[in-house]
Amino acid sequence: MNKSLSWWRPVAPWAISALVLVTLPLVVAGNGTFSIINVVAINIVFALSYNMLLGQGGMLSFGHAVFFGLGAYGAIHAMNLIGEAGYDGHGFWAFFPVYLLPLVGFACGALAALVVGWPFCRRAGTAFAMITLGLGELVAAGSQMVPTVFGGEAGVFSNRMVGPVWFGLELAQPADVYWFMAFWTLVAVFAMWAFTRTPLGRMSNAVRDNADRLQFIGYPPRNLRFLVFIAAGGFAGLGGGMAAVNYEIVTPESLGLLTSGLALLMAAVGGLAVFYGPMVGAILVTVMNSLLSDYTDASILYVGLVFLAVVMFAPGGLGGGIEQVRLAWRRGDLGAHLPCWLGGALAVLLIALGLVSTIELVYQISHGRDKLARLLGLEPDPASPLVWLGIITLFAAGYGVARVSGRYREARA
Amino acid sequence: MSEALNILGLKKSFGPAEVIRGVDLTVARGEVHAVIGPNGAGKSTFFNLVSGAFAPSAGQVSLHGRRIDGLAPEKIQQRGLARSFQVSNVFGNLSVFENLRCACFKQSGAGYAFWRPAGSVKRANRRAEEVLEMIGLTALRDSPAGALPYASQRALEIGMTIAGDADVVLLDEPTAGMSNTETTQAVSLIRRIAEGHTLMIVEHDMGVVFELADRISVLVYGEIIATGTPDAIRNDPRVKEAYLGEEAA
Repeated sequence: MNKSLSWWRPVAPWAISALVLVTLPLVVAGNGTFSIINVVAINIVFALSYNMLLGQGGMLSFGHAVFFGLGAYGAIHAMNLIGEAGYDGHGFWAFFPVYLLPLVGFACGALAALVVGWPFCRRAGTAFAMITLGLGELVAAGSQMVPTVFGGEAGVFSNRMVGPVWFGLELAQPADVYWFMAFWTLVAVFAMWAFTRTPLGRMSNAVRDNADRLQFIGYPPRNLRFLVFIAAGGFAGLGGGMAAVNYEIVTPESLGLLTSGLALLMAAVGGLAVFYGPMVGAILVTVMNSLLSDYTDASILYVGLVFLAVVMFAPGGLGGGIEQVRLAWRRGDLGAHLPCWLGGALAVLLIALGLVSTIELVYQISHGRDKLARLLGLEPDPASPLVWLGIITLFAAGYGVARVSGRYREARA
Repeated sequence: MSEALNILGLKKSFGPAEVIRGVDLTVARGEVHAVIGPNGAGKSTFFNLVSGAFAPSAGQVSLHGRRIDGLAPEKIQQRGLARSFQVSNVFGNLSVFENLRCACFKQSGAGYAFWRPAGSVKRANRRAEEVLEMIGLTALRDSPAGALPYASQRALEIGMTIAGDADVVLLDEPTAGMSNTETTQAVSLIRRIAEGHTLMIVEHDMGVVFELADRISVLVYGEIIATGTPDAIRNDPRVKEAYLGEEAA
């Protein structure tokens, strides 16, 4: 049976992804939903490009947003050029459709990385992290000094409804932009996946694992890091180009530390060691960022807590967890592991419930309101000891379940 | 006798401490040359100087008549000198096969290629399979190198060193920490490598040294005190005194 399925294995993830992308618009509706999906798409590309550096190449960067932002700026200026060329109808930009702007973003990101990257790539580790941090702040601050290019605090505006239209696909509503996003995400993800399978991709893993040894098989680590840095910059710029089309505005914030931090957050939550990990992280973090604020005042705190929990308890990230389950299933001993894992999940759920209740109650005391409780139709009274007893019970139960499943695991081992 | 490696007046100081104090050594093409010496004699430093990990303070190293001292390790590797490490030094998260293939990319000039799949670099794949077979790790092909048992990791270490088709190979204590059976296997592997390669070996196990070496050099306190055939070394009074002392007495 395995033999007959062997042709299907490598194709399956792509076929399923394409199927999901095609069916998604049939399932969801509303511009709000599409807006979130479009941001998810941008962040998937951004997070994956970040992982080319960190997960694949072992370079911890705090300045990856520079390439994302410069790609976005390049694309939005190109968009304005397309708009201007549209009036008289000739010149290169008059024939350049908006759909291809991510390519402009890619070129800008890769070019920026090519120009600045060489001195950075001498060392990985702390030195690289510090230098990229400096670069990020430098570019973000420097952008304020060149308002003609970066648009000052307000940023650069544009309009995506310009230029030649192919196949009648106008980018008017978020639902229209969806197809643009789906296409470029698929292209970028495939390209980055293919990159991992090339000699350079494999050598970048080798640099990560043991840069010193690499010299003795004939390659200076710096050259390899530099090439990976350029590629990662290019794909970040491609994501930036997608963002420029999506928002029709690019601000200097997109170059700064917060945006770089977002890339790290998404990649780490999703898992650095698994190719698709950052995609999972991008989906989760983006959805949390977009939706959570509708339900609670503490949304940012929750994103932070998820990050903290993943780093402390699941260093492999969500992707690492999925991969563990998948491998166990393929080995055929999923049944043996499952009670343990379900116990752990239950413990996490109980403790998380306890934490959420505590945080929401504290917010109710300090701010006098609690969105979440009202949405759920609850009216907890922070003065009542019963409520707090319930929370303590949740924590205790979570701890108990964790202990029991831990003991079960030891007993099996 | 043509020379693969010619070392002249090689010196290395770390601050005030002179660790290598003027080494002259010639390794003939096709020979197995062992470097022995007591702990702290400077054997590892000597290897690091020849392979480019450190730059020498003075002296020259020539590979096939061309100077290589002071070159970066990757340049020396490209000229045809490869080395293994005393402590296993592999790419821990990559599979055994991937470790070997990465070590083969240089010959095909493919290490920087991002426009073709790694599987399409025919020569590197073929060579990696060949070495995999040679070091006897075919069964562990897809295991991550970091998870290998010690002896297998040592074998992989040697495999990666020879995979790049260097004609001069430096092995730094290839049998260190191995059991008797493992040592026997390693020796037969090294013997196979010795066909068609020039080998320089640092080794503690005297059994291994006298079994493999065509010539032996004895390094004591940063100086070569004697070089010769195993028999000559065994009977050299200075060597007996300085190194084999207790065992020979």
